[in-house]
Amino acid sequence: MSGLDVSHMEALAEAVVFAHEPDAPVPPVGDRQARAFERTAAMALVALAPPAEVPALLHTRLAADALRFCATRGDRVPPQPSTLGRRAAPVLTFVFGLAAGLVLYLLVAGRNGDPVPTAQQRAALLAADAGVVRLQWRAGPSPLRGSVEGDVVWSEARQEGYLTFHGLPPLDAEHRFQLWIVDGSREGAPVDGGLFTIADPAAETVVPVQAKLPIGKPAAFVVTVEPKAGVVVSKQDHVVAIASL
Amino acid sequence: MTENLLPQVAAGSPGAVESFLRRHQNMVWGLARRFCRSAEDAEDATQEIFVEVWKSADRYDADYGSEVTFLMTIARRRLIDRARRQGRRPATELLEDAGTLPAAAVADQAELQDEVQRAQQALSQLRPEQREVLDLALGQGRTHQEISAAIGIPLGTVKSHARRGLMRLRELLGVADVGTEGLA
Repeated sequence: MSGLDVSHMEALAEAVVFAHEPDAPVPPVGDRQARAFERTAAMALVALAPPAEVPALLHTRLAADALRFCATRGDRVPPQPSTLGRRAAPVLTFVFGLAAGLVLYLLVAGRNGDPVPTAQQRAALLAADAGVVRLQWRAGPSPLRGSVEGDVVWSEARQEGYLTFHGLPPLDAEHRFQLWIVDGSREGAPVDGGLFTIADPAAETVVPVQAKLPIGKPAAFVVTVEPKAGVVVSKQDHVVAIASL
Repeated sequence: MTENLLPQVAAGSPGAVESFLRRHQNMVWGLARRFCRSAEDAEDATQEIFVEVWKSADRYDADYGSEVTFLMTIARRRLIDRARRQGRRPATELLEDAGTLPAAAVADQAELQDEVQRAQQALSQLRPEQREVLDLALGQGRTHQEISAAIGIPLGTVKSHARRGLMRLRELLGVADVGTEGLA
């Protein structure tokens, strides 16, 4: 290496070490040698910075960001070829007929004071609001996920939604499932969507969403396992199901 | 060998993202806590670093280096950007928070431990004064004036130890020229 090369390399090395100083020169972007020094510095940091326990609240913020990222980048099911064009008329007639029947049933049931089954409330929401978002559950990383399947339906206009589960194993008496809604329009931790239990994993269970705050832009719905009284902010130690846009 | 999670992270796999976070969050937090002026600043920096990692994961190229080198490159860049934006800070605020807890070992850190050992071994072969300057500058974000005042040597000597230390470290770690692909 010539004297000129050595002094160039020394200048680059110095620029990389003190790059955090506001008045220091910035290492040249795209320079191979500068990048090699930058990589050296990154490798050294592994030994220079002893790990420290992340505060629980920060972990929650990091996990919420991670879920938001998954919601935007997550596995996407390729769109299925539509059959609507071929059979649109009979299908639409059937759907509108079903919707009308359901609305009539709910009106009658409501007047009689009988509780309307949650599954029928869900069906009525689907029939009444064309803007309802419908997302499939994906299994979370927790072993408590069982073979969870099902979906989430959510109406932004009505702030109403339902979760459908199949294959989610029941919990012991000390624990509950808790829904969290990652709201893209809101900073901070996901919104609490309510506690629920599953009685029979073989049967289909429909659960109403009980969002504790208005949801502006739902990016993901996440189900965790928590102590039976629920938590204000989840550590997300046991994520069993995720549905994301 | 520990599984490299970045390709699955890039695909948005919730399990991989969660595992990546658990594997590395304490290391990034430890760095941010030493580098930043306050716990709040370190929290914001840590959050910014991981958001950047998620967004950049699809640009990871194994030829550039390991998962942890990729992560620490991003971490360092974000910390540098923040420090430059915020301007120079008073040295009195650089002290570590006594309440910062050392982290317990994470189960799948075998590869990380190898990298730590390798870096420690290389650092141990530097002259003590070079090692000290690099620790204060790279690991704690101190300026050359602060280092000069802290260890009582002239500014020119601080810079000399810094550049010769990093050049020697590069040799010891066998870092060749890096192409312009991968992490730009």
